[in-house]
Amino acid sequence: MKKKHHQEETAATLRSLDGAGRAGAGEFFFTRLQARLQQKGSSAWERVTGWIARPSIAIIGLCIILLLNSIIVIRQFESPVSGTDQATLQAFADEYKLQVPTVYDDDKVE
Amino acid sequence: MVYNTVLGIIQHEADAEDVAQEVFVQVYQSIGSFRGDAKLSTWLYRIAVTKALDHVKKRNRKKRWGKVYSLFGDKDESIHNAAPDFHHPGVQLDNKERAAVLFKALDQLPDRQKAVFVLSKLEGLPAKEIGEVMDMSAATVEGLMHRAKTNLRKLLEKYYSGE
Repeated sequence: MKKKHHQEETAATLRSLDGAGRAGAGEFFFTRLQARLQQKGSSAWERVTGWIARPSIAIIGLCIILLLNSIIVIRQFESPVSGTDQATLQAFADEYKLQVPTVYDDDKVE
Repeated sequence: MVYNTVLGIIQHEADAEDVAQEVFVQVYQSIGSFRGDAKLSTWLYRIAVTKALDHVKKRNRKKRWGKVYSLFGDKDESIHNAAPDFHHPGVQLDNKERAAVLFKALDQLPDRQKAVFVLSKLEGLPAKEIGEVMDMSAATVEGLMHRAKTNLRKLLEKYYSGE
């Protein structure tokens, strides 16, 4: 008897939403929405940071940075270790008169 | 339509308004990506359901952390329980109390069952359209609806027998 009563209550409760009307938003919903949209539209920085923070963009950016770094490191290793170029050094020394004068230089005929 | 769906899932009027606004903001921002292969209403429902379920998940997470904090003596006043006495404004007066009990039980259902039940009962959508909204077949929707009703019946019988 009690069980039947519970079942009836349950069935009635399950039917309680039948014919329910639609709930409407508050009075100033669209005014507030408009204000929010304007606020959203004006903050370009927010959009930019939001775009950068997208996982796909962030991962691609990180990959590009790592790739560029790898290229630079590889190039560093590949470039031949340049030995002291005597000709260049001599030319530089001549240009700026870096020779150490000796006593024999005084005897030189100008 | 958006607000009603969100309210049915969230069961809190102020939060439902916020989430409904978020839905429209997202629609405004991504209207360009709407391909038109589905109805605009289907797209709107999809965004509304996703946002509402996300909000419920966030709220439940906060509630769980609230319980953890309460163990250490902290009280988070901002966390409110989801609809202990939620009254849907569209329900007829003589059904208000029963509907409140039903919403309480509904809040304990898994996400997909809850969404299907709300779309069917509050929005009156057919299984085919619910399937388009939730990206599943009509048969799956009917299965979810059946499980939702079975679970609700169990919860309600438990509620009434313990009363």
